[in-house]
Amino acid sequence: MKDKYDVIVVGAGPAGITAALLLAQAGLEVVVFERGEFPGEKNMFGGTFFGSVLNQIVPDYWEEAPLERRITRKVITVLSEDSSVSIDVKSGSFGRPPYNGFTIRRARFDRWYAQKAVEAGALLVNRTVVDDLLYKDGRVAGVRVRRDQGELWADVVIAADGVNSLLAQKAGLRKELDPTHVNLGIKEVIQLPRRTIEERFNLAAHEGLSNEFLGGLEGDVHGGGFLYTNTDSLSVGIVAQLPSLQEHKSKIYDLLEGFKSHPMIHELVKDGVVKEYSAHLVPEAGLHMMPELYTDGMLVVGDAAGFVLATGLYLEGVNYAMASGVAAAKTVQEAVARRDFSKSSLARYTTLLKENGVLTDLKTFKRAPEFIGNPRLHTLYPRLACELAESIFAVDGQPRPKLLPLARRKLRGQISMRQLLKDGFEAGRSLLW
Amino acid sequence: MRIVVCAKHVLDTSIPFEIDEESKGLVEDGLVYILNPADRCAVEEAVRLKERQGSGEVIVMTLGPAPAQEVLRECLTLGADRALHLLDRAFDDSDAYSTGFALAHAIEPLECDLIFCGSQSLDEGCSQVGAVIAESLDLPQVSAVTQLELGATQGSVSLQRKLDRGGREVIECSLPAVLTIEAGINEPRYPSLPMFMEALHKEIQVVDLDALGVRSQEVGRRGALTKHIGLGPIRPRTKITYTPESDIDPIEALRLMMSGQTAPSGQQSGDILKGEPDYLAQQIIRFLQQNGMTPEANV
Ligand SMILES: Cc1cc2nc3c(=O)[nH]c(=O)nc-3n(C[C@H](O)[C@H](O)[C@H](O)COP(=O)(O)OP(=O)(O)OC[C@H]3O[C@@H](n4cnc5c(N)ncnc54)[C@H](O)[C@@H]3O)c2cc1C
Repeated sequence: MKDKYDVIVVGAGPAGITAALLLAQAGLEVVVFERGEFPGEKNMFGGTFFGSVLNQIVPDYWEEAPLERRITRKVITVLSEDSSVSIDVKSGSFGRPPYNGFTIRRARFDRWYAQKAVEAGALLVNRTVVDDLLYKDGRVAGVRVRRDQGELWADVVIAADGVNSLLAQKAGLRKELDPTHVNLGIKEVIQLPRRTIEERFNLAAHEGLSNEFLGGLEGDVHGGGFLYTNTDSLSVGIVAQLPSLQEHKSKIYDLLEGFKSHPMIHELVKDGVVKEYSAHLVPEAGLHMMPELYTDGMLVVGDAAGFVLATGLYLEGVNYAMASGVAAAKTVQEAVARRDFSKSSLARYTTLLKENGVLTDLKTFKRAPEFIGNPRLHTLYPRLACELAESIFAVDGQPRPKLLPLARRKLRGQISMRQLLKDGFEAGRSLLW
Repeated sequence: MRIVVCAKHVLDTSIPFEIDEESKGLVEDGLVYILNPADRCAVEEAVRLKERQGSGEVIVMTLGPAPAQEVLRECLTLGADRALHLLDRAFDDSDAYSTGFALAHAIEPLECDLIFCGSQSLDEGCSQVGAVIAESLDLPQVSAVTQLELGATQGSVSLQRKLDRGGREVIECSLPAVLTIEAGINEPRYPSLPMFMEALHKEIQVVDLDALGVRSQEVGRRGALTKHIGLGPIRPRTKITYTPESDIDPIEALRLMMSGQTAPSGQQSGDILKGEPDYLAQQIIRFLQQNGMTPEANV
């Protein structure tokens, strides 16, 4: 066995594989360590994948990647106890190449993607946990894995080990995970016949729906739900803020059960059989939790660096994980050309991340986490929205007021106009402008 | 010494699976395949034997679909030197016979001293492939081996094999021979990083029908002696339990259940005898005699 490689990548998720694939294509000797039986084995996420970055790496990836359904219908639903209001967007262009997004299942997708890196020449070492970093002359110079004689050296280590990145911590780039900076996600894969899914959600073959939900969690826990259609199953889950879970002493699986038994959701998931059950953390504080992104001999990519866009309505991480993998690969190639793997040489990484939009997007939405933290967003507003919509359409023999007076009447006693405007401004500033 | 180990990728039966009503086969989605545990022990035993001798070669072999290559890779991480994958559409739907037949053909030109199989596969567990190989190559076979040492004389091995109820049999067997290895004969190693990474570079040789030099009617479904009809769910054998009438006194019901009767006292169909032991014994003997259940002479 060689005891030194050009690059060691830790973690075969979308971030790590992207970096490994591009570096192997560039002719570097790359080793990827993955603790799972195979890449993706235990990787979970909600279920929607946006492929703009992948399409640059594997052009027309949809021809060969294991995808479930292309998302042609996007729905955002606000839930109160027994009613709901939705915005439903059906787009023709979403159904044509290059497609806007797909539902995927990570166990298949990550495995396929990793195989691309292997074909490019990367050495994928599964079933091997990285426990520690190795240092030489005060700079990161390799890793120690949980096997006998488990030391391996490299010019650069790329930490792609996910949300609870051990390596970023070991390198002193960040502190232990702060519970206020992460959310807990939990999901079930519920099997349903293909035809039933298409009928129930009004979809043609291969077409899919993504539906995010605001409100509707029992005990006013802050968080939201999601429902995505796979080929012959649904991914149904919730993401809840950890502090809020603690405060309400709620168990997340009880919340998921509650969510599924909400009358609106029940209609969508009924008759299905639960096939999988998984839980995972989500970095959700955006720029606030971001570690330092590099040090001498090491770069941090993907979730390990906190690159997830969480706007409260949806989570987008895989695309950013890939984009950061691209930036890391470019940084390392340039560093190889200079034969300089010091911190100052690797500082190019930040510039490249800005150029390809990762850091800029996170900055654009940097207020979103605070806004999502607003308790009224999870309880009062969903209820008001539903009540208002109900009143607009209710025919009860009463004289019918126009919308604004109706809204004002609904709001009276629940929230002041000033507070409402302030929250509205916050929402706009976080998400719209 | 050259040792061939036959390894199989098997269904991980600890994960629930479903049977498709129509095809009577397994629903493929979500199935997980692993290296058969007994085969893993067989590889470990072969590698240990080689290490003890300081020289030799361990060759692993599998017959199975493309993903079965992963178990070969795993065997290589355990220290096997090279691997052969019998892979051809013609091998599809093999039974134990046509599998053993094909493996034997691949083994023959290797001129090995020992052939190891796991004693049983986790999923189908028919324990026959080893026997078919031995028969095809006209070699001795020892099954369920729980201990292995080099024999007292050159060209033999001394074996312990498993019998019923913890019994053990010790056998000396001449080489070459086929041994089926019990899971538990050893504790397979957790490969070191160098072993693990070297295995990734080792070549897996694919052997198709032509390379094997057999005809397609001799292998796979056409060469099979048994036919797979289908899988069915385990149907519990129904057992009738008598329960007392529901309208009787609960204490009485309990007493009845504990004594194995079903009708409340007063309505029993059998006789209940009461009295001293001597008297009871006499009555029982009389009952048996009257019903022709005892030979006269003995009483
Ligand atoms: C509930 C939930 C829903 C989500 N929904 C979406 C969505 O719909 N769309 C979207 O785009 N994103 C979504 N995300 C976010 C997305 O899943 C992540 O941003 C993305 O997976 C990050 O990729 P990554 O490669 O950085 O990390 P990961 O995918 O977490 O990969 C890390 C890899 O490293 C391996 N690893 C970790 N530690 C070690 C170690 N010490 N040694 C060896 N290997 C190690 C792991 O096994 C894993 O394979 C969701 C996340 C959650 C939790």
